[in-house]
Amino acid sequence: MKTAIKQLIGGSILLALTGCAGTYHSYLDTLKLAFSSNDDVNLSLQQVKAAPSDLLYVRHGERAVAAMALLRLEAGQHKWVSADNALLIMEQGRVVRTAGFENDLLYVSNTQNDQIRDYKTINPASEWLRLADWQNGEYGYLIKSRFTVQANQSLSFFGQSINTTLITEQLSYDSDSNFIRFDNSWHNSFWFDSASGTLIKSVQQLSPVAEPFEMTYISRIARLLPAVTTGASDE
Amino acid sequence: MSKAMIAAAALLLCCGVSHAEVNVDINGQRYSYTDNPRLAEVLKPHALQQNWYWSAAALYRTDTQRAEKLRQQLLALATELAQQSDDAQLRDSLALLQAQVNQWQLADRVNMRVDYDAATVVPALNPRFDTGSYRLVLQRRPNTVFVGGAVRREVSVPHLGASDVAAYTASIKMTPGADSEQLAIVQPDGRVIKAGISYFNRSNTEAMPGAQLLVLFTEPMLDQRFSTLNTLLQQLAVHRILP
Repeated sequence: MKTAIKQLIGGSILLALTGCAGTYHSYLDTLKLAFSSNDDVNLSLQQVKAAPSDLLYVRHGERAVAAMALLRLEAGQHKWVSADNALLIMEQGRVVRTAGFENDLLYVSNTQNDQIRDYKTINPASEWLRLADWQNGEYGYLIKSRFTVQANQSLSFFGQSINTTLITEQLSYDSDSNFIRFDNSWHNSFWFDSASGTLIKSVQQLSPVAEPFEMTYISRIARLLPAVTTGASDE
Repeated sequence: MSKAMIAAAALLLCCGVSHAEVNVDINGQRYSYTDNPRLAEVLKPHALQQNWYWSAAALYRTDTQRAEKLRQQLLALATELAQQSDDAQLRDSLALLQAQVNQWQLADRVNMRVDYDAATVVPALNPRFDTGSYRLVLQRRPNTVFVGGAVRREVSVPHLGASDVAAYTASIKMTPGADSEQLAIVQPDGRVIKAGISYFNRSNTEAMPGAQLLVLFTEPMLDQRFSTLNTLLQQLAVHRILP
């Protein structure tokens, strides 16, 4: 009898747990677009356009390219989720928080003054300062950034070129780390479609020792390209 | 027979769910649920109101007395130690600790991660509330840490970025009987970490913004009760709702 009741309660709990699974999960599970996959995801233009939500290609370090789906756009933040439930939270293309990675970024301060928010007003002489907190036990690390602009950088997707403006961000860790480090400066890159000003690609390394995220906004790119083109991605 | 008992158990289960009531105070606003809501549902009305520092978000039970019992245990032990000590300075230190702990606002902290975004994608991080009363504390990134325990006066001091906890020792006025070689850090996410602060045992451990730094009492070889006092102090601090 006790066993029967346990099974009944166990079954009820299982039903309760599975009742609220998001629809994006089933979609991403179908595509098997998780960071644990060994193969790069490579969708056709038609597949990208047919996706039920915006897709973002992400290469984290040396791993295969995975796709993340746009879970929500809320409070000025784009929240992207992978099939294995990793989250990237971005403000105007800047990663401001992660969840489900090896050493998550917990917090970035002063995001409203990030010059990437309006790249057309970038002043190479000005700096952006912010504090970053990390899950592995580092809190309040001061990061300093300067930006440079290069126009007319061509990128190729689905066999077509897109003219972009490349913003290169030079970053340095101004805090003395409690851990041994050999290089406290690095750079990030952001490519904006020159015609529309849409961010279509970025490479962001969140700390001197973190593995970079290479992110391609493949759904945005699909919307920018003429409708007649089909074929696999060049990315 | 067994089918009938299973049916009865199912009915009991259903009745339990239908009469369930969950009351949650979220930063002073009260909500009632007749079912057992999940964490994401409870957080939803507040999740986007501010840029919350989810690592410091905490859930407490307010209809149970576990923390209060711990407080009484600690106070009783401190009284016992003071009564049996012939060291007047140590007695004063214990009295200061008791005064501090008496001021603490406590509730039974629920040991779980509170993070709206994670709760919406990871089922395991989106549990249902048991029937009962709760307090949910959400805050923006704190800019201080609290120093308490075997100190003359409990203080909050500015959080020091990229700094070992030993950097806070200049702000700490320890009382006689204090252990000057280590601190206990109660991180806002509920983790308790011990960190050496002497030149020979520094561990390069950082306090999260909003952490509590507890100065412990030296533990004499022949009196395990100070070790118990230190343990109770760390356990109790986890249940503290900070001002």
